[in-house]
Amino acid sequence: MSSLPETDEDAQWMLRVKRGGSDAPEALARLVERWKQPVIHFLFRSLPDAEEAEDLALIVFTQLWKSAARYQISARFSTFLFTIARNLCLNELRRRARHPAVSLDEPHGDDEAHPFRQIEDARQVSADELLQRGELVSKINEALAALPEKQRTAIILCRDTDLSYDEIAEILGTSIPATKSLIHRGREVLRTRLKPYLKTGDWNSSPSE
Amino acid sequence: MNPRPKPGEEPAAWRESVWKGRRDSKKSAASTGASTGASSGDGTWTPGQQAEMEAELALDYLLGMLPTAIAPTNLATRVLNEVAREDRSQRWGGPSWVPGQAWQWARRIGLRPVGIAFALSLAVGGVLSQRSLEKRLLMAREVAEVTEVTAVAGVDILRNFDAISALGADARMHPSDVDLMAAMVPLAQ
Repeated sequence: MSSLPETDEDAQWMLRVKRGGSDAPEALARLVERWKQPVIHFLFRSLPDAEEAEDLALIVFTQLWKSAARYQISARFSTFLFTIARNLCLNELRRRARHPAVSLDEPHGDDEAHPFRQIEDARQVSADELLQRGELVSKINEALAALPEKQRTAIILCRDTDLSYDEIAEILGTSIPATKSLIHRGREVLRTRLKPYLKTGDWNSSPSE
Repeated sequence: MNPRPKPGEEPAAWRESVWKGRRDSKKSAASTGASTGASSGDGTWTPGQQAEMEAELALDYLLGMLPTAIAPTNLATRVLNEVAREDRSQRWGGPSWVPGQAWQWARRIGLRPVGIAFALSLAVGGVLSQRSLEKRLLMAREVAEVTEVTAVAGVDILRNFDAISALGADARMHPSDVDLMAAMVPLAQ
């Protein structure tokens, strides 16, 4: 217990889950409540399908319960959880590669008969703008999906979660400099692939104002 | 948070902070004018670094356009239900028993009775096999005895004229069968 920081509440909850006493379900529920948003966000960015992300999140937390016995007191809870999430996500992507399927909900850029997925936006936007934005989102997702898995995971974990470089490195099984290098190279590739959209200068304007 | 570098901020440190995501980069960039090279912090950045900064900010803005997934409010309940279901199925087999967990079920519940049943079948099989062996040995012994009693002289005896004449002599005297047999056996050997 000496190596465990007193402020690391998650590790304390995880230890209760590991002990498997009567308060274990309550501890698991608290962990789910605390971590469900970053986990689903990470899965959604990686897949990217909201319903599958939700289903996979359920499996991630169930796996967390099953793997509780393997949790080491010295390990950070965040790295333990995201390692599980990453592995399950990798399995899902491999399964998809083996059995490709066409989703009826996925946007089809070249087919006008299939509308793009609606994107929540508080602003009043025209159908054209929605369409253009849907296409742009689709291009960004394609560019992200085309990255090597480690680069993509590093970028998503870095940008969309509060994990430190140290934690990301542990999840990826690399060093901190190697993690930063992965992010740098991945973003360079993204900038190259999305160059036409970067050049538009849209990001400089402020449509909401 | 202003995405633009603060005065004296190192390019590498600034870049890493952008990597961490600045969702309000668009608004901040717009409010600062966002002209390339116009606000490069303390002015020590090279044009190349400024161009990279602009590209990083633009990419960050694009990534910020991706929709966000909202976690369902009942996820914890669903997880607990799933955990309870799996726990039940592993412990008892239950109605939600699935083939993939059959081995776990067998290990937890079935192995001991199966082991006992296997040992019992071995013992019963051993006893039955011993009895069968004994029966066959007894039968073999009886067959051997019968064979010994009914052993008679072979056809070769007919080639022996001494025996034939002895038989003829015996026949005239009407000897008993036992005497005949006694007369034939030495001849047959």
